[in-house]
Amino acid sequence: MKVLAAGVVPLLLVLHWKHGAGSPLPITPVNATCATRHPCPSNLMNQIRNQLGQLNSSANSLFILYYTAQGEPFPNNLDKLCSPNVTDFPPFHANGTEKARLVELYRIIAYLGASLGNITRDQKVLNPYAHGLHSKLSTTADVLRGLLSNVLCRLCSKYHVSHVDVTYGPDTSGKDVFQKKKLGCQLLGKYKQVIAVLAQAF
Amino acid sequence: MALFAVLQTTFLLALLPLRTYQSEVLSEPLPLTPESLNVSINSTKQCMHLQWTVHNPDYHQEFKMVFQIQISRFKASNVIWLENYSTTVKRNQVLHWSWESELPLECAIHFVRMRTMVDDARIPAPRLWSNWSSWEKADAQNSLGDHPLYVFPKDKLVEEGSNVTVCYISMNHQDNISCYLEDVLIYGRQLDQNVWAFEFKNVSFIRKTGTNFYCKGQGDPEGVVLLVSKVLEEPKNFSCETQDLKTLTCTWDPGNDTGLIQLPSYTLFESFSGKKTLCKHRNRCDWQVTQDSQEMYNFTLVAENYFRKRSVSILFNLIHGVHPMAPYSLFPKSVSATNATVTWKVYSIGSKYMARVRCAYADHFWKWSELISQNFTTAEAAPSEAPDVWRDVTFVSGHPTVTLFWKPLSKVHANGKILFYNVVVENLDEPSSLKVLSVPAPANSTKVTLNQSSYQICVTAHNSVGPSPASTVAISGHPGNENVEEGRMNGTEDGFPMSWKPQSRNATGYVVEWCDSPQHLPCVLRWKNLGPTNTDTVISSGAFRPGVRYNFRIYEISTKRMAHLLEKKAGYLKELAPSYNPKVNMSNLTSHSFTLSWKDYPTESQTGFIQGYYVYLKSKTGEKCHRGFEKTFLTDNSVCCKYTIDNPDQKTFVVKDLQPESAYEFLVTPYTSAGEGPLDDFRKVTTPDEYSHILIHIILPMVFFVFVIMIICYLKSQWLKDKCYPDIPDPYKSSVLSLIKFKENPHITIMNVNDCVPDAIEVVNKPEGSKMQFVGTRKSPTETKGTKPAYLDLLPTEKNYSGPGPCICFENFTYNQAASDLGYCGHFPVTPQAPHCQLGPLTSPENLLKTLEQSYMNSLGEIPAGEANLNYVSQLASPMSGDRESPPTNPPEPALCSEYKMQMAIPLGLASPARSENSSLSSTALLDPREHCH
Repeated sequence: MKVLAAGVVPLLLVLHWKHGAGSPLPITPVNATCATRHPCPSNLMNQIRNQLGQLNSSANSLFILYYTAQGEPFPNNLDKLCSPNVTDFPPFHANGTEKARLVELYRIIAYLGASLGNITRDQKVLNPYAHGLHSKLSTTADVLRGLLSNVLCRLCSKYHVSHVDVTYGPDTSGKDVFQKKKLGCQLLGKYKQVIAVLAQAF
Repeated sequence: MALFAVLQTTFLLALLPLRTYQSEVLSEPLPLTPESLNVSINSTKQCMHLQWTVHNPDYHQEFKMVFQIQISRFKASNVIWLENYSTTVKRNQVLHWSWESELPLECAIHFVRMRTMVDDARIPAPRLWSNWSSWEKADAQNSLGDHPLYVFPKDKLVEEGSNVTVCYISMNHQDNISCYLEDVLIYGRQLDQNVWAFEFKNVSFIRKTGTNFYCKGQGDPEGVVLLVSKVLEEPKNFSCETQDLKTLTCTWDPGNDTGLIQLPSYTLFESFSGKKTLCKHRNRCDWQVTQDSQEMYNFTLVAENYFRKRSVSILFNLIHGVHPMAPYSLFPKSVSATNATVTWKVYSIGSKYMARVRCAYADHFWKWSELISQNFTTAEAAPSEAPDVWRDVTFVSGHPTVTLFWKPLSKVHANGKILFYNVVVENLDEPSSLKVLSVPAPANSTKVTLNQSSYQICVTAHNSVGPSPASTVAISGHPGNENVEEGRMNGTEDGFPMSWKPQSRNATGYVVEWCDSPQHLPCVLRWKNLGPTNTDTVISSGAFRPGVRYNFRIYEISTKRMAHLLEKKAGYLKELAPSYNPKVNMSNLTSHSFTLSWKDYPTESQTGFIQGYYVYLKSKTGEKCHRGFEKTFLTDNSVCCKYTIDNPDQKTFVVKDLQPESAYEFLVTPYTSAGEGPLDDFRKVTTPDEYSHILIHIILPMVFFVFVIMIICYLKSQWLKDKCYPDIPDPYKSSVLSLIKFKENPHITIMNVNDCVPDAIEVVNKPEGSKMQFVGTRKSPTETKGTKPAYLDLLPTEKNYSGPGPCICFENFTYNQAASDLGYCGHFPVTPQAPHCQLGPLTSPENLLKTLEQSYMNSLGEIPAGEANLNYVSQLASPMSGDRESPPTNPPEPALCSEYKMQMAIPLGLASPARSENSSLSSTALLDPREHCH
C-alpha cells in the first residue's frame, strides 16, 4: 500500500499537472467588469483637481528643498544638473478626451509615484538627517497614491477601464551617489513642470 | 684484480655526475617563474588585485621568495610602480597582492608583470631573478557604456586631510569639458588623449551628503561625490552605572560626528566574562548584568569606522556604580508648627541608604538650604529568586555521590545577607526518607552520598527573613547513558558556539556544563541554564584561554528535573602548535631499521587537536630521502627528511632502508592545525654493522657451546679417554674394520683374543750387546747399543711348539704409521721366508692398507683360519713406556715410535721385513721359520 501511495500518487499528480496550476488566480480578469472595492465619491473630479492643485502648490518647494539638500553645484546649475529631460516619461495631451486625459494622468501619477519612492529611499540613505525633505517627499507620495486611487475609480466607474498599462522610471538602487542626486533632481524638476500642466488640464 | 680495478673505476665515474647533479639541485635551484597571473579590479576600493601561483616540484616545504612587481599605465613601457613583495611560499600556493591606485583605475589601462627570486637563507647564493612574466592588462574601460563622459572614482570614501585624485574620460575628443568642485571651476592635467586628472590635496569636510564634483561638456553632465569623513575621535568621559543592579548603562562622549553616511560602530567588550555587545547608540550602551554575581567589570569601548579604530577602557565595580532611582511616594505626615514627618519609598537594591534633606521656600523659591544627611538601613526581605543549582554525579561502588553547586544570589534577589543554604534530599522510592542539610554561606557547594534510588534535591537560600524559592534537581540512582560520541568544534572570538538536537518534546530546559580550567584539578564546574526553546548558544568566559581543550556536556532537563546527557563537545578557543614532543622509545635497532614508539603520548591534553605526527630523520651523509619521506629544511638551515603520519592514533613507526654503520638523528613531533611541535630535540642513533647480528646470534652461542663441550670433556676426560683413545684399543673399534666391512668380505674378521689362549708368559731379556737392526734408519748400530727392551711374549702354556705350520702375526698398524713417518721402527716380525716380507709398502698407511688387503686376499684364501699359527706380539712393546719395569738404559735415545700396533691378522710373508745383514731381532721374540705360534 505504501508502495502504491509512493509511486502512483506522484505519477497522477505529474500527469494532471498543467501550466499555472499552482499560480494564483488574477484578482481582476482582463475582461471582467470593472469593480471597485469602495464606492467612488460623488465629487471625484473635484477631488482629483484639488489633489493636483495641492501637488502643484508644493512641487516647487519640494524641488528647492531637494536640490538644496544635495549641495553645490546643484542649486546653481539647475539647468545642467536638474533639467527636466527625463526619458520615457509618459506623455500628456491636454486636448484629449477626459477618458484619454485620465488614462494619461494615471500613467503619469504611477510613474511619478514609483520615482518618488526611489528618491525617498535614496535620500533617507544619502541625507539621513534631512528630515524636512523626507517629510515633504513622504507627503507628496501619499497624495500621489490618493490621486492614483481616485483616477482609477473615475476610470472604472465612468469609463469601465479596469486596466491601464503603465511604465516606470529607471531603478536607481545600483547607481552611484551623484547619479542618484542628479536623477532625483531631474525627476523633481520634471514633476514640477508636469504637475503644473496637469493641474491646468483638469 | 685488473678486471676488478676497471669495474670499480667505471662505477665511481658513473656515480660522480649523479652526485654532482644532486648537489646542483640542492644548491642552485632554477629560478621559478610565476604562473597563472590574474589581475582584477575592485572599483569601490580602487584596488588592483593580483593572484598567481608558483609551481615548484623540487621543494615541498615553505621557503622565502621575492616577487618583483611592475605596473605600467597607458602603455607597458610607462612603468609607474615597482615593488618587491617578499613572502613565504608553499608548494602550489595561490598568492595574492593588492595595490591601491591613486588614480582611478577606470581612467587608464594598466599593465602588470612580475618576476621572482628565491630569497631563502637555506639556498646558497647566487640568487637569480627569473624571467619576467608576460604583461597582464587590466582595462576597466571595457565595462564602460556609450556615454560621452565618465567621471571617476564613484562614491570614494576619503578621510579629511587626505589627498584624492579625480579623473574624467571623454569619449568625444572635440568636446570642451569643464569640471567643477562644489561649483568652483577646476583645472586638471591631461594624462592621455581623452583622460584628464584632478588632484585634490588635504580635502576638507563640507557636508554629510558628500563633496560634489562634476564635469560638463555638450552632453549630459556627469559627476562624482567624494564622501569625506572627519577623523574619528576617541570616546571621552567613558563611565558606567546602574540603577537596579540588573542593567549597566555605559555612556561616553563620542566627539565630533565623522559626517559619514556610514556611522562609526561602537562595541562594548568585557574582558572578565569575554562577552561583547554592539551598541545601538553612538554615546550610550546597555549591558545586562548576569546572575553569576560578577562585581568587577573591565569594559573596553571600541569605536571603529572605515579608516580608524579607537578604544578606551575602564575597570568598574558594580557596587560602586549604583545610581539609585528617585524615591517615590513622598508624603508629608504629622505636620505641626515646627515638625514635619515626610515619608517616601525607595527601589530596593540594597539595605543601607543615605538620605540628604534640604529645604527651600516654596512660594518664592530662591535657593536651597544646606543639606543634612542621615544613614539608615532598610529591613531585609526573603530572597526573591531560587539559586541557580547544578550537580555533578559520580558513582563510587555503584552508589551515586552527588556534588551540588549553586551560584550566589545577586544583591537584587538576595534582599539581605544570605546566611545559609538548605539542601533537602528526598528519596522518591521511599517518600518517608527525608534528609536535610544546612550549609552555611558563603559556601557554594556540598556533597551528598545516595543509594541506588531516585532522589529529588531542593536547594533554598535563606536570609534572616526566610527562604528563597526552591531550586530542584533530580538524581537517578543509576548511571545514565554516557556513551555519547564526542563532537568537535572551533571556538571564536565570542566563545564556543554550539547547537544540539532535542531528544524529547517535553524538555523543560537545557544545561551546558564545562570546566573553566580543565588543566588544573579539581575542575571548576561551570554551567549555563537555557530555556526549552533554545537549541543553540554561545558559551563565553573570561577564563577561556587559547591552547586549552574545553569539554562541554549538554544535558536535557526532563519534566521531572532529571538531566539526560545529550551531547559531548570538545574544542579550543584557538588551537596552538604542540608545546612539547612525545617521549619516543627506540627499539629493534638493526643495521637497516629501527622502531620508534610513543604510546604514552596523551593526544587528548594537547594545545590543539592532534592531526598526526611528523617523523624527522637526519643523516650525516645527507643522502636522498627514503620512500614516503620528503625533503625539508629546518630552521637551522639543515636538510632533513620528513615523514607524515596523518593518523593521530598511530604511535609507532618503523624507520627502514637505513645504511649499516651510519649515524642518524630522528625526531617525532605532533602537529595541529596551528603547526608542529618544537624541532630542537633530535636524538642520535647509529646503526650497527650488518654482520653484528651474526656475531650475536651465531658466534656467541657457538663459543658458549664449545665452552660447554670443553667443560664436559674436562669433567669426563677419563670416560672420553676410555672411549676414544684407550690405552688398550679395542680392535673392534678400529677404522680398519670399517674398511674391511666396506669391502664386504665376510671371511676377513678380527681374531678374538680369546681365540688365542695364552698358556705361558715368557719374559725375554735380550742380552747386552745385542744389536738392533733398523730398517731405513740412518743411525748407526752403536746408537742403539745399551738398550734393554723387555718384552712379554705370550706363548702356549704347555707346548712350546706344536709343529710347523703357517703363522699369523698381529700388529697394531696405527703405530706403524708413526714408525713409518719417522723412518724407522723398533721391531718387525720376522718370518723365515724373506721374499714374503716386504717392508717398503708398509712405510705408509695407504700402502699398508693396500698391501694388507691384497695380502689378506691372497694369504687368507690359502690359509685356513683354524690352521693358522700365531706369532703374538705384545701391545706394550714400547721400549720407553711399555716396559716400565725395565727403565731405559739409554734415555736420550729417541723414542722411536710407539710400539703399539694394530692387532691384525697378517700373513707371515707380509709381516716379515726385508732382511738385511744388519738386521737385529733384539726387540722381538722371533720364531724359527719352521716354528708355529699358537
